[in-house]
Amino acid sequence: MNDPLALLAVIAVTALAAAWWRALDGKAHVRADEIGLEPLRAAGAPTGAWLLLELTAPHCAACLRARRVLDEVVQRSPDVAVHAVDIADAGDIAHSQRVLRAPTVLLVDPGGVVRARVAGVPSASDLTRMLEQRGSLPMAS
Amino acid sequence: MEIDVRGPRFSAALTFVVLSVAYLTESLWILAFQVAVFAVAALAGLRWSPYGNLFRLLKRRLDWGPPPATEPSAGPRFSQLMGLLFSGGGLVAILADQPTLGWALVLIVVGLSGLLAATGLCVGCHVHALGSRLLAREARS
Repeated sequence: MNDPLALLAVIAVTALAAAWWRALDGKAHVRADEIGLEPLRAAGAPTGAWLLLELTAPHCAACLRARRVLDEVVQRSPDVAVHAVDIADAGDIAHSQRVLRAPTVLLVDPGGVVRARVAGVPSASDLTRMLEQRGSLPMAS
Repeated sequence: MEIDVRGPRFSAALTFVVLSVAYLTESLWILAFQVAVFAVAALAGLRWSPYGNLFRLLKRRLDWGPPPATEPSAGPRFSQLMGLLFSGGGLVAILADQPTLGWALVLIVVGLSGLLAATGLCVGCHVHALGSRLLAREARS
């Protein structure tokens, strides 16, 4: 018989990885990273207002769920624009922001600075809180 | 093709159990059975997946209701291919008198299938999505 301890160790590592993933997935993180307005315009996003920018991929079911969350969240913040763009069509932003996953949602201020970021389908309550506090989000990451 | 998101998690749970038993009993027959299951799903398509068909049968018999969500089959199918490579590689290694390497490869599949079954996190699907984005970028440039 193989050593059952090795199997237990694999299960323990798996459980840790699952907990880590759950802690990160869909949570909004504050950051301050300038994209600049030009890459935003190149990606077809509106500029000059707060923006929720969703980076999507083809055949991505989670991206559609993320879009529904964004549309729901901005109903209470009508001055925030929502724009979804395929990662392939926003190469500069994906590269400079080191986006690995679709969906990834960036909260961008009117000056083109990323102020928060969510990897995965955002939690609506988390994102709403972030939008309500957006005036006082720290500029330093 | 769109599939019920519960299908891959069900299959992953079965894979986890089957490979854990194969590991603990050092049974090459059970391991070979799982390699064959992976091979059918990855090479012939998820429509033919033995575990997928068992899932659909149980779903009908026990009336599990409509899918909570669907997802494209490309990511899960790629994951079955990863499972085939790792567990098939493990089987070959054990037959070539490298049991430590072989069972280690099997335990990787145990960990990843356990992760998918427990949390819905499909590592192979993320690898597939990332890989196809990188390939698309290569093709464009």
